[in-house]
Amino acid sequence: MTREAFRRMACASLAAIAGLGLTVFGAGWHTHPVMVQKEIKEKLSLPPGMGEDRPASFFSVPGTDAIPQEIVRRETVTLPKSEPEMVLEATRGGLELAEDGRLRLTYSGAPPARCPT
Amino acid sequence: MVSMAESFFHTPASKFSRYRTAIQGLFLVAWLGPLGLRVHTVCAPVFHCYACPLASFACPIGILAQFSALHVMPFLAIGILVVTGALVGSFVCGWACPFGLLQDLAARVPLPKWDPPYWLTHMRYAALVGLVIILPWFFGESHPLFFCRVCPAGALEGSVPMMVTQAAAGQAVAWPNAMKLGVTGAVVLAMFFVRRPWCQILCPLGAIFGLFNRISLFAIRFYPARCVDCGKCGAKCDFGVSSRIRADDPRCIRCMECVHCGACQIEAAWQAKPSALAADLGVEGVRER
Repeated sequence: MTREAFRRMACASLAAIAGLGLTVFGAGWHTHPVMVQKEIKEKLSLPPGMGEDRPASFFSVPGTDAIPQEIVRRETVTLPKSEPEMVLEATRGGLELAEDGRLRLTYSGAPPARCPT
Repeated sequence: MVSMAESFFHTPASKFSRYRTAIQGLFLVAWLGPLGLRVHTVCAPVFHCYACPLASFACPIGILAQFSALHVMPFLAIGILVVTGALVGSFVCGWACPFGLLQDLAARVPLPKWDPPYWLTHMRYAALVGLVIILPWFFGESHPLFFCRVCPAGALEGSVPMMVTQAAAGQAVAWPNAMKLGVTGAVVLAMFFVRRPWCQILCPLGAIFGLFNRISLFAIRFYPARCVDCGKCGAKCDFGVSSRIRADDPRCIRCMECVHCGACQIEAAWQAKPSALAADLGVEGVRER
């Protein structure tokens, strides 16, 4: 084997090992905190007696007489997302950089159908 | 040696490279998700937009740009590119890239071809550093020059199918922005008059793999003792790179059109050895650059 061939083999092997290391780390260990807006549904429990003789329209859904059974509360939580998940989100424009430097999911519920670009 | 030059098209390499278009086609099938596979959590090492309705994998350049805009290091994408580059260098460009295949097919139209000057090929590095890394980092993905917003592969593989789908469904067609349309139009037009214009002048992925040509495990090697200076290798090269002068030129896409005579050949690093003929003549057996 020539000196040049040895140099090439050494460089290629080192680069391949480094690349493999990066791939394994990225796929298996690398996570990043992402702010996600979660919809939290809470069952509404009225105090005893309040359901029956409530004041008109006090508890009811606007425009109806129905009493809401649950309320939906939106809360921003920070979740660690793995790099493969972040790659998937990036392909559909699901991540953005917030003003405070943290990552934020651009949607809540169903993901966007396609990349915005 | 003269007989070697005469038998230019009768070496194993020439037989193999004859099937290059078919092999590119097979890779294209793999990138287009034959089983409805959409593994967008992983990048394939080719230039193929993930906005394509059939794309199997994510585009590494799109991910580099998006992650740069998010200020996150894309270990997975970089790792895949480094492993691929270290093993095969720019073989990927010549044999597996779907956008390369498109340009190869367009170049078959018999029209006069123009060879861009050498300095213009350095634009690839400017595109890689400027449009893929620096601009997204400072201005985010909403900037009009953000790479994906001007990428012709994205327009042809993502926007066009989407527009056709919208038109077929009777919906309002969402056109790409003017910049993207302009770049795409220019690249498509150039495909007919310049061989692989995108690869030669602007492709950031080709710029990355080209850098690995000097160290990749599998490479083209030049054996000076076997060369008769017939110049056919240089004449065969679409990029004006002569393998006998610069076997590891970053512009080379390793299409293997130039290795038919036997003076240059595809080898793994461990196979390289001084040729017996060279030893007889007392000259350097293998030249790698």
